[in-house]
Amino acid sequence: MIFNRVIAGTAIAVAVVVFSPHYVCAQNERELGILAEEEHAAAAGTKELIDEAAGELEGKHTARDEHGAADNNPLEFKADLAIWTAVVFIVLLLVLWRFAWGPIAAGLDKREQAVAGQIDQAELANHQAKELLAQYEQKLSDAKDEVNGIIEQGRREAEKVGREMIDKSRDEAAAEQQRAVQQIETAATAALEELAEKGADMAVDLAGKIVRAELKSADHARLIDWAVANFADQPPSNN
Amino acid sequence: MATDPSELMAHVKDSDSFHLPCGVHVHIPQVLEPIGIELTKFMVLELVAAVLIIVVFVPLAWKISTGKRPRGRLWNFLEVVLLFLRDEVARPAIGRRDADRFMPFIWTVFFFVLTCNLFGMIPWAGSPTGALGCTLALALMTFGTVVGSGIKKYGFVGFWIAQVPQMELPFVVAVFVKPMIFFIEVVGLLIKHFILSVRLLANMFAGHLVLAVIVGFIAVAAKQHIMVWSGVMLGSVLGAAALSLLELFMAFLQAYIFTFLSALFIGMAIHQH
Repeated sequence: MIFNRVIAGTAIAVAVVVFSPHYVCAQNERELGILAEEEHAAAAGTKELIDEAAGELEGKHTARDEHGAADNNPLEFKADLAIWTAVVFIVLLLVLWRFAWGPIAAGLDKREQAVAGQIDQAELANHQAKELLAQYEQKLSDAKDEVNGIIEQGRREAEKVGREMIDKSRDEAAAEQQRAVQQIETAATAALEELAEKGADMAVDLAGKIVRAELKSADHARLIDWAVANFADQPPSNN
Repeated sequence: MATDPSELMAHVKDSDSFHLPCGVHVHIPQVLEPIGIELTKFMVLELVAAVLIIVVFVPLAWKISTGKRPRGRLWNFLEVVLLFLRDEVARPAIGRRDADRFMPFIWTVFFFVLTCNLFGMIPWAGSPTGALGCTLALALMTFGTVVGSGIKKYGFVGFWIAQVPQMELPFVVAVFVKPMIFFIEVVGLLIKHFILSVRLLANMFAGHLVLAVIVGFIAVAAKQHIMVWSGVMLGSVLGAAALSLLELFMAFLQAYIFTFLSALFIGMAIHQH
């Protein structure tokens, strides 16, 4: 941007420099031309031409002075330019009013309304979303409470069932133990009775054998071993 | 010489030709001579400005009316300016309810003045707003809008009577004072519109004249030593570049001021004391 301005400034500077010699040259040429005209008139010997040239020279200077004085007035008013400006402006206003400003204003208003409508819709949607969010949060909170209740109830029921199962198992174990003890006691009693009966029988048998034969010490030992072995081979009692 | 005031003025003021480099003068064909109008450089530039504005804004209007979102820097920039003028200039000055009716005038004034101002930044062109004929005509447009809108709202008599503020005065005093106040107010109304034109003219004219003077220093130093001339030329070119930036800013600022004051005057006319 600044570079362009520098170029523009340079161009202006160059233009001024270029114009200045031209202007000076033109002035000189004008003066020389008038002088040549004077010389030509003198050579022709016609005083009228000299007076005419002098008058022309005077007139040019006067005109330039007047022109210069008029040009130096920044408040110089040109009616032509004012009328032209007014006409151009009014025509421009009418053309733009019909083909530009009207559609632009309508388009901008339409867009503003559309944007305002979209903002309203967005605010409404936001409001609805917040309400839904609150509802869902409430539902979620209720669900949590419900779940906690269910869990607590389940835990309580599980504990209750567990306790009942433990008590039942304990009772059953105690009953089983009691039954086993009774069975053991019964079996022991039966075994003792059977042992007594067997002992008596064996004592009778042994006494009979002793009676039937004289027994030596080696026989005694063999007999005892036989009796023991025979006792061991006996099947257990069914009691 | 370029230091001749008339020569300097010639680069700032209106003329019947475009001054190009190397002494080339492009004379404007006087096609309106039969009806007594002399075509000048500023007239041509005003016409170009009007055509340029139409070429830019009519397609823009077509784009906006399609309802599409703004795309591109130019479209966005122009919309920003249009909305700024409506929301920050016209509506605060005229009132939200009435401002929209005057937006075509406000927009046209701003862009026409701005374009004419910016033409002054184009080498060998010129700023039509640097001539009283142009600025006075534009101020008259504002004046006409102000008076017309006021008369439309309050009636012809009502508008002019409303120029005198409401005052509780004894009848004897009011007979003398109110006509004087009426006279002062009417003259004030004319003066402030005339000042509207002179303000724009003075800023644009003076800015370009200062630029011409600074660049003219080069011509003054041309007969001096080459080192002196080089230094002056460098300083002049840099100074002209800096002042051109200022002029660019002034082009926008003066267009804004002219538009803002026009809106303010319209607002004062349709919202009396």
